[in-house]
Amino acid sequence: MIRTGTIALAAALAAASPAASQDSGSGTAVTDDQPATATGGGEVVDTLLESAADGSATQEDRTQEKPRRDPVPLVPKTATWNTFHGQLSAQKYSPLDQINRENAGNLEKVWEVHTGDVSDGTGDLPTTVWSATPIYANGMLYIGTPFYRVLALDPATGEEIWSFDSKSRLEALTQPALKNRGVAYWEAAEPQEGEACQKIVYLGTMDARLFAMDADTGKPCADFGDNGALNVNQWNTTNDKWPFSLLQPPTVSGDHVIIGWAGNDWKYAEAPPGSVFSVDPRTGKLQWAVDTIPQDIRRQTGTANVWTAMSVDEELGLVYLPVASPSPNYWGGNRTQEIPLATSTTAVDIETGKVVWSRQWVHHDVWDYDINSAPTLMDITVDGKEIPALMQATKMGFLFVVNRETGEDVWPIEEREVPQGDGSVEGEVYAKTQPFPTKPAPLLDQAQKEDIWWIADAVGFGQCSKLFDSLSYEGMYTPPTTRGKGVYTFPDSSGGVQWGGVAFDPESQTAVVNTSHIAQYIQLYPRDEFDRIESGSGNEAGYYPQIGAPYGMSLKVAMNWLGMPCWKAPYGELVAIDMKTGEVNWRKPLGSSQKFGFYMPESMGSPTIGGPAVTAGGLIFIGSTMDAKVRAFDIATGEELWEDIVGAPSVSNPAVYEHEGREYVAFIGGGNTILKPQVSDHIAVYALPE
Amino acid sequence: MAQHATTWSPGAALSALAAFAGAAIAAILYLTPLTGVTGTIGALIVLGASLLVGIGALLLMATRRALWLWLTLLGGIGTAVAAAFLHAWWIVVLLAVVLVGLVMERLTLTRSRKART
Repeated sequence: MIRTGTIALAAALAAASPAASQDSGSGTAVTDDQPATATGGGEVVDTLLESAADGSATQEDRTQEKPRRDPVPLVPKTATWNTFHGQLSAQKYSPLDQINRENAGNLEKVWEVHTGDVSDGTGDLPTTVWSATPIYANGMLYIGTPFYRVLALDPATGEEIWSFDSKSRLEALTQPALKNRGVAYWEAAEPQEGEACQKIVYLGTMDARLFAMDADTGKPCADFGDNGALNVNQWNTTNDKWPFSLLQPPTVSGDHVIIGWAGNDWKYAEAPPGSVFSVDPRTGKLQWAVDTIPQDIRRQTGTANVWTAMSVDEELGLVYLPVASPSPNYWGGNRTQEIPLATSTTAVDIETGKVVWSRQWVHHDVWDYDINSAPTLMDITVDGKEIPALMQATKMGFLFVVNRETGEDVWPIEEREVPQGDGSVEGEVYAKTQPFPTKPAPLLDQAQKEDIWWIADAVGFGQCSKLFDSLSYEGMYTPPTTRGKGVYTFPDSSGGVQWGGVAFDPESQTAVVNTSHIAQYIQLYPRDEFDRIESGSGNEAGYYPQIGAPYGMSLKVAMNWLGMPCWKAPYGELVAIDMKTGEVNWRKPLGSSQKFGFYMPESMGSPTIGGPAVTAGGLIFIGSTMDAKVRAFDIATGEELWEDIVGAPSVSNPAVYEHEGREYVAFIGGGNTILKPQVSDHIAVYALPE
Repeated sequence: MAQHATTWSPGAALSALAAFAGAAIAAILYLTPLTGVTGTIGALIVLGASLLVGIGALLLMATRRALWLWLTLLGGIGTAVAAAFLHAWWIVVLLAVVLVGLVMERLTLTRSRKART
């Protein structure tokens, strides 16, 4: 029973009877002779689980033989943008200041590329959803595409240096779209002159393969997996209803390539149970695995996976896992036991895979409140005391701040009693309490239903009023219901905060985050009723069966017949928070909502997907909005300084890099059908005039 | 009728020219990448509406009937509002010119009626 929160390292390990260790999720080390591409992966994972029980860890011996590398500091000494979130800390911070608040208005597009890897879904291919952030490493700009190709581009001109085509199946095997969030990069601590694959780029695919290619040439690394491709699905051995889709690039730290995976949300009650794998960067051999669901209930539920980016503190030797919710997402009658690592931030020893501490942010999650972004690691000064902190943004709009060494609160996180449902759903055992942060204040006010936007209500001839009247709501964490039109949520899966996460300026200790205000509603349907009414699904909306559960479900956004939101603006905001006090410095509506090409006033803001980057030039760069604009803001005041338009909403974080003395900002305009049906293959890079 | 049709009506001509120019800009916005409204229904609506406003102005020029003046005026206002929501500011400016032309035309009509009486 680990309801109240922290699993401190000492306590967890001291109390770690084998059973206790499994209950809190297992981290399992394996030996070097573990085959990376073994068939019969079931035996592999079973062996891992057995060795977890005795707490053995053989990794340390092995790593001591390898060249030691200095840990990357939380804020790298030089400008670094070689991971999905720029740095392993996920600060998305660049110390560059060539572009600054005085001259940002002069930014101009210096090059753009259309990759050709795009589909709007009207032809044979599923639509593309491209949320990649370019990475700058080895003097090149590396970008993964939703057709599962890698492009290595000249950072100054966009000229292609090499490309790699995984020839992956372009089918929506798990997700409703072809998705990609980029690539990862590794380089040897002591590169061997003339040897290939001393620097490697990694690309994951929807069909569960991790490709490794030489960063200089793009040629496959023959020693990695099976001639350059690692079949990660070999470890998919429980409820393997779908392949482990590798849409998020792995997290690379030292000699570890750490892999999470995505699945097919909302379809099955019993699904592959969450797991994270660390493999050798050269060979793909399994180093350790973390299982997030206790062994005794793994078959009856599933997921609680890590589908988004992770962050790493190399000085502490910890990797931080943002763990999603268990399956099925909207009914928990098959998983009434504790699953302490589900919907959590979990700190794992990067050498052994052992869980060091974990904080569960939603107990018995029946709202699909996946932890969906890498926690942002930051050193902050609170009441004169320096604290190694971590901020975890969430779909709920809560920002949890804890000590990243121990998992303990920085500002109090209170367990508060929450609604217990209307009794219409059988088999449920709801959590009595849920954690609520006291600082920073929630990004959204969820105390009661939002006010209805009278124009949408009038245009809908009272449609919005009737809908809101028929939705039950007793405050945050009101459980799903079969009654009326369901339960109101503000928000549900659309966030709050999405995978762009929180940026952090270490100089001013300012956190920057974009958030969406979206009223949704969830309804459960008894199986026979669901089978009668099911009418299709889209991207994160519509009807989903939850096969194996007694209830199917629907998730919808509260809109009138014309697609106008039923609730009052703003629909999205950009927020800056002083992390010395936890107070909001400023917040303002971000971007414009857009329908049929028509823009709504900027004062109403836009739902946002993607995230910010911040620089020592006093700037915030961000896309994320429906209007497909990319913008620069003054971090001190929130004043907009510059904007431009890209091919589709930029649903990722921008990259900020310096190449041959010039500072560049790169945006990918890929689009996401959650925002609007506009997708693109556009890379746009900006700099000051020479 | 014939007498009206042979009278030069600069206001209506100005309106027609401005409306067709607006339609041309809407077409450019619809077809050109990265305008923010490329390929959108909204841009098509404004394109079509601008053409209708232009046709209304031509009919006004041809017939000198107040009906076309009022219809063109309403269409121009509606199209200007739609263009404003597209952030198509040059179209808004051109539709303001359409309105100026219609005012000129109205004054011309009033004067000619007074002259006849």
